[in-house]
Amino acid sequence: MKILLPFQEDSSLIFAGKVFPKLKMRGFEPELLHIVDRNGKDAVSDRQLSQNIGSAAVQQIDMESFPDFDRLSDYRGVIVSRVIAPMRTMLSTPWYKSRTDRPCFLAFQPGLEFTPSRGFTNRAAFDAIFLNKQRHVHLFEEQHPTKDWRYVTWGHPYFSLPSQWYDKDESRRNIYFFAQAISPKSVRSRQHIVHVLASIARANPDRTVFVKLRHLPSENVNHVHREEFDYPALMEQLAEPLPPNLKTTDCSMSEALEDAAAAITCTSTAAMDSISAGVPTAVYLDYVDFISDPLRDPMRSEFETSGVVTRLHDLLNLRLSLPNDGWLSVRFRDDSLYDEISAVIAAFKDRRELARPA
Amino acid sequence: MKLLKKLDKQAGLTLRWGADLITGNYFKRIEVKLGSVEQQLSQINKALMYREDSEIKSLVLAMFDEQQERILREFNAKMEKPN
Repeated sequence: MKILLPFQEDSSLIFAGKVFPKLKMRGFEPELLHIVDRNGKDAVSDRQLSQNIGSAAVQQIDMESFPDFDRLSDYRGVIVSRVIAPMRTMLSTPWYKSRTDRPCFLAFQPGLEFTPSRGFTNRAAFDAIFLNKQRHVHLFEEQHPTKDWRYVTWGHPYFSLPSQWYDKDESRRNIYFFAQAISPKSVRSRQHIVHVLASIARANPDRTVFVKLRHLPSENVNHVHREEFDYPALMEQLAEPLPPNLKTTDCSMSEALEDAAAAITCTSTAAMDSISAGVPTAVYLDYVDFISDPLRDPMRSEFETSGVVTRLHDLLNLRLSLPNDGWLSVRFRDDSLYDEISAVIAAFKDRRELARPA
Repeated sequence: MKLLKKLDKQAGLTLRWGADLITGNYFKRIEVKLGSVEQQLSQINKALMYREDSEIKSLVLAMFDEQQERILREFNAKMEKPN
């Protein structure tokens, strides 16, 4: 079963890179399509491409030309995490929607979503919508009723239940801080993060603390989430000498999580990735000048009952808790997610009704 | 909590932001930083007299930031001490 995985910028590239091997493992034939914005707004570097998809073949098309992509009918499914306007327009057009030779369009959310309403609207015309939270399924259906065939469910490739926890694995020594471009926002907040990481590194000379960069300072320069204060520069500007075991890395998320003893992040979806990988995770939200960061309060609400929101004192002493089961169970799923993708695509072919798994 | 209810009554909506922060888990730390409840009340009342919402907000935030920097300094000092 051929599946198309379109991507545009680093976020959707990471998603495609994550889903591609999972689909392949389950007997699908996934193919990658790089949708290029002519304005160069969403450019991804060769490094980002090879890091996320290795040497897999990639087709390319201009954003505006997507509706003319004449091979679309070769695919049984198109899976996206980011919705582009031409795709939305196509699916809102009755003559296209009713075509029987077209693929099933499945949309996920891009990652943690603090203001899901707009994303709901952007995905309303899709054939299958996978929402982050179980409780959003009915909300979505109420807000966006349709007479067309549609399947709404929940689950995300980043939010999969861990097979085991690595909290007692002494062979893992590395600590990763997953950096983001725009959160924490102010230079004061970001300097505070550097100070905290330097303190952890000094207190743990037998460990290495890595600032895991989402992208290099030279990348994503025209990105909508452009980084104003990058960590490599802030680390260079540190008044005191930088501990030798505080380093930056541009490794991939999966590489980092393979040897991570602990993961720290502020408001990033990386928290979900690291929990999925069974890595003890700290969501740290008590940075100075937090008031300047609009993502901090929504993250706090999202993780309030998770058990992984970590106070400064506990973070410095690496006292990290595993997430609460109740919080996990309504956000994280097992690999049956991929069986459901398969079932949706099969049911779509003859617009057969499909019951959601219990 | 009684103090907060009292403050809320006095300040109405103007104190809601500060109260929200204080009623959260930061309350104890802020209380420690400020000293007695009376001192806290006096400081907030002083700010309220001028109906300076931003003053309360800045006060609470500055205290919070200062507290975080103090925790960091104390941790580093403790780590530097020879065993």
